Amino acid sequence: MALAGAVAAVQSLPGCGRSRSPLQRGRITFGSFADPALDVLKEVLLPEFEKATGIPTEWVEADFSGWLQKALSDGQTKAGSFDIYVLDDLWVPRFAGAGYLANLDEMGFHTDQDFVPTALDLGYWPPKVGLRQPGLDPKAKPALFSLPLISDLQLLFYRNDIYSSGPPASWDEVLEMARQKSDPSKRQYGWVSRGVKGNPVVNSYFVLLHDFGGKIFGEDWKVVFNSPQAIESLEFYLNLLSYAPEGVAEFDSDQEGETLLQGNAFAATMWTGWCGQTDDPTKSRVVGKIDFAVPPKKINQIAKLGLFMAGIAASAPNKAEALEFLRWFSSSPTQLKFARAGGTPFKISAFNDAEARKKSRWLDAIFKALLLGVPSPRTSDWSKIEDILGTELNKALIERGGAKEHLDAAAAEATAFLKSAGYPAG
Amino acid sequence: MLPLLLIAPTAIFALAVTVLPLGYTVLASLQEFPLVRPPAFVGLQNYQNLLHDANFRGSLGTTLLFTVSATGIEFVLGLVLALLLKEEFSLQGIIRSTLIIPMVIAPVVVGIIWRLLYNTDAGLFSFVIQSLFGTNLSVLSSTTLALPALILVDIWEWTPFMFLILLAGIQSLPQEPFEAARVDGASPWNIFLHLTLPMLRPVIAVALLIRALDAFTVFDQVFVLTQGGPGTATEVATLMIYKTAFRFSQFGYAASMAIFLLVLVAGFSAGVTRAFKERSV
Amino acid sequence: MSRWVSNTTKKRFWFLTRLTLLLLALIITLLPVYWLVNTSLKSPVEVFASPPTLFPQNPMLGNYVSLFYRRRLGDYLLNSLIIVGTAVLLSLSVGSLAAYSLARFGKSRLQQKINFWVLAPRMIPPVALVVPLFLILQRLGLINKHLGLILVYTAFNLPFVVWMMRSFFQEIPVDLEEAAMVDGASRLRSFKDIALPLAAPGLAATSIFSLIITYNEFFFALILTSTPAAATLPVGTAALIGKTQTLYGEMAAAGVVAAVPLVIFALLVQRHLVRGLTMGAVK
Repeated sequence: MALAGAVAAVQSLPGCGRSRSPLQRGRITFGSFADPALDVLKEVLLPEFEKATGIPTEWVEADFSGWLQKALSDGQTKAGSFDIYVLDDLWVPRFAGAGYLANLDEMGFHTDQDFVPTALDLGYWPPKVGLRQPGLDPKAKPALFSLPLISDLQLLFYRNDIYSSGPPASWDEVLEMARQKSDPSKRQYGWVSRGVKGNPVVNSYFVLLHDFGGKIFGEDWKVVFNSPQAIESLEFYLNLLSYAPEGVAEFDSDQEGETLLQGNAFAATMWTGWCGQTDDPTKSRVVGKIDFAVPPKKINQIAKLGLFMAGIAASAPNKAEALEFLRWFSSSPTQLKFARAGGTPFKISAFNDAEARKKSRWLDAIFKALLLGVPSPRTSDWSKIEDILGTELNKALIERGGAKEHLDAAAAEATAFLKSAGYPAG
Repeated sequence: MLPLLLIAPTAIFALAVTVLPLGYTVLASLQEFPLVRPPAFVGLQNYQNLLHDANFRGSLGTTLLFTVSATGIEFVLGLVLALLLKEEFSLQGIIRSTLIIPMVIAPVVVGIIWRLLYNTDAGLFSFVIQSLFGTNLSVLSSTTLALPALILVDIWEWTPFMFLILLAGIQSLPQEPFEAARVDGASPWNIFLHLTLPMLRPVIAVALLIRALDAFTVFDQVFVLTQGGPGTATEVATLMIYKTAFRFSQFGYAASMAIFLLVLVAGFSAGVTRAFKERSV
Repeated sequence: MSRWVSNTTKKRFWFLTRLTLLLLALIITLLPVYWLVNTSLKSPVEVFASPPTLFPQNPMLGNYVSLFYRRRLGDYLLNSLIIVGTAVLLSLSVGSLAAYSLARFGKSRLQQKINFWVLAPRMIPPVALVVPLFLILQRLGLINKHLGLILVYTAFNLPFVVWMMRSFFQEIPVDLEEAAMVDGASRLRSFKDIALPLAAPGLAATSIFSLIITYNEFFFALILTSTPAAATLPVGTAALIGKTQTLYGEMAAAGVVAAVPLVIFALLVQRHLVRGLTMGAVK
C-alpha cells in the first residue's frame, strides 16, 4: 500500500520544466519489433520526413516478444520512453483498452476515403464491427487510436513453374497438386505452414477455418471453433500437411519462408515481408519462380490480416511531432512515394499506381487480399484463447489426427476461461 | 563502527534490488489487472487459482525433469572431465580455455545456433543422424525428443561450469591421504569412491546447487528453440510466467506464480544447504 | 585390471582412453562453435541449404559489415564494455570492503546467512523483479542510461563477490596486518596495502565469473534500456529476431563478435581462474 502511495505521489509531481524554444522540435522516438517489411520505412521514408519537416527521429527496435514487453512496461508505468509504438494489430485492443494510446480523434486527426477500409478499421477502439468484450460500454462510440503502418497479411506465395496455369483457385486444387507432385525424398513438399503452438499455428489455420465456413466466436462470444465445419477444415489442413516437411509442427515463420525460398515447397500462405526476398539471389534459390495471389477459396475466401499499426503513446513526450509524422505518412502523396519505393501502403490510390505496381509485382495481390481481410477477434483476451487453441492445434498436428478431440478440448478450456473472465460465452 | 560502514553499501544495494522489488511483486500478486478495468484487490485468489491450475503443475513437473536430468548429467560429465585433466600437461591452458567457450557465448545465440543445428533439412545434427542411422529425425517437433534435445543444449553449454568447479575442488585436495592410500595398495576405483568423492562433498554441493538453480530458471534457450512446444512438452515454469505476464497481460496471476516458484526454490536451497552442512562436519 | 597385463600396457591403455575421451569432449564442444562461425560467413540463402554445407560456398563478411553499419553493433559493444566493466569494478570494490569486514569481524552465524543470501538473486525469476526495478530506476531518471544498468548489475554481482572474497581474505594471516598496525598503520591502510594485494588472484577469479554472467545478461538490459545509447550486446543481438524472420547469418556473426572479448580475456586469465576457485569457493 505504501509503495502504491509513493508511486502515486511521485507521478503527480509536475514534469520538470522542460521548456523548449518554438524553433527546436522534439525528437520522435519510435519503438518497434524488427521485420524486413519495415526496411523501406526506416531507410527511405524516415530520412525524407526529417528533411521535409526538420523533426529528428530515432528508431528503436527489439525482437518481437521483447518489444511487446517493453511497450507494455512503458504503457503501464507511463514512462514516456517512446512517442510512437509500432504495434501488431492484435495488440490494439490491449493497448487501447488499457489506455496506453492517445486518442487520435481528439488530437484532431482526420481520415479520408482513400484509406483501405479493412486496414483503417483495425485502429478503432471499441471495434467498429463485431462483438464487444465485457467491461466495455456497448454504446461507446469507436474512436481512432492507431493508424495502419504496413499492410501486412497472409498472402499466397506459389511456384509459377509448378502451378503453370496460374494460381490455385481452390484449396482442393492445392491438395491435388500436392498429391500429384510431392516427393519428400527429393525434399519437394506440396505445402508448408507454421506449426508452432500459439499465434503461428492459429494464424495458419485461421484462413482454412473461415474458408470452410467456420468461425472463432458465434453470438455472445460463444466458442464455435469446434463446429462441424471447423472440424472439417482442420481435417483438411492435417491432410494437406501430410505433404509438408517432417518437422512442420515446430516451424515458425522463418522456417516456413526458408523452405519456400530454398525451392522445397510448392506454395504457402506467408506474411508479406517475404515478398521482396523472393527475387533476391542472396536470399532465394527460386528467383523469378514465385508469384503471389489471394489465398485459395473453399466456400469463402479470406486473407488473415496481420497489419503493423502505429499509435501515439499516451505518455509520449512529443505528441505534436508524432501526430505530424502520422499525418505526413498517411497522406496520399507520401503513401504513393512509399509504394513506389517498394513499401506496402494502406491507401487505395497508392495500391493502384502503375509505377508502384511495377516496382512491387505483389502489390495487386496484397490489395485484393486486403479487401478480403479478416483480423483476429478484437478482444484484449485473444492472446489467451489463441494460446489454448494453438496448443491443441499443435497437438493435432503432431498426431496428424484427432481433429475433433483437440478442437473440443480447446473449446472447453476456452469457454471455461472466458466464463471466468466475465464473458457470456453462449 | 567500521565493520558496519564497510558492509553498509553492499547491504543497501542488495536491499534496493531484491527486497524492495519483491515487496512490490508480492503486492501485485494480491491483485488482478484486467486491462479494460482498473486493477482490483483480490487477496489470495490468485494463489487459489494456482493450486487448481493443471497447466502450471505440468510446467513445474517439466521444469523439475529438466533440472534433475541436466544437472545430473552435467555433474557426471564435468567430474569425468575434471578427473581426466587434473594432472598438469603441456597444452592445458588452451584446452581448458577451449572447453569453456560454450559457457561464454550469449544464451540467445546458443539457442539460435542449436535451432539451426536441429533443423530437419538444413541442420548439421539431423544430417549426422541421417548419415549414421539412415532415418531423418525431427527432434524439435517430437513430443518425446524435444525435452531431451533441450537438455542436450543445456549440457553442451554448462558442463564446462561443472568442470571448472570440480577441477578446482580436486586440485585443492591435500595430497597426503592419496599418497598414503596408494602406498597401502588401494585400487584407483576405491580411492575415488572412498576418498575423492567424500572429500569433495562441499564442492559438489555448491556446484550442484548453483547449477540446479540456474537450470530451474532456464528461459532463453527454451524460448528460442521450442516456445514451450510441441504441445506442452517443453513448457517450463519461467516460460509460463512470462506468457502469463506479457502475452495474456495477467500481471497479478503471473506475480503469484513467481512468488510461488521463489518460495519453492528458496525452500529447496535451504534444505540442501542444511543437509550438506550437517553431514560434512 | 588382472595381473597378467603388464604395467606399461595398462598405462598406455589408460593414456589412450584419456586421450580419446578428451578429443571427444573437444569435438563436441567445438562443433557447434564451428557452426557458429561457419554460419556467420554465409549468405542468407546458404544458411538453410539442405543438406547443410560444411564450408560456405561464397564466404562473405557481409554479415559482419551489416552488423556494424546497419545494426549499430559498435554502439552495443561499446555500451556492453562500459556498463559491464564499470559494474564489475564497482562490485569488486564495494564487495571487497564488505568481504574484508566479514572476514575480519564476522561471526559464524552471519557467515551462514551470507552463504544463503549469495544465492538469493539467482532464485528470483527476473520476471518478478523487472517491473518494480523499472519503476525505481524511472523515478531516479536512470532508464536508458549507463548508470542505471551499472547500478543494477553491481547489486546483483555483490553477493557473489562478497562470498568469494571473504574466503580469500580469510586465507591471509592476521599477523601480517597486525604487525603493520602495531607500526602505526590504520585498519583501512593495512587493508589497502597488505590484504588487497595478497588477495589479487581472488580478485582475478571473481572478476572473470562476474564478467561472464553480467556480459550475457539479457532480461534486465532489455527492459531497463531502450536505445543504442545505452543498450547492451545481448539486446542488440536479440533484435535480429524479427517478427517473421530471423537473420541467422547476422545473429551468428553477432554471437562471434560478442564472444571474442570474453574468450580472449578468459585465455589470458584462465590460470587464475582455477587457482582462484581452488582457494575461494571450496572453503
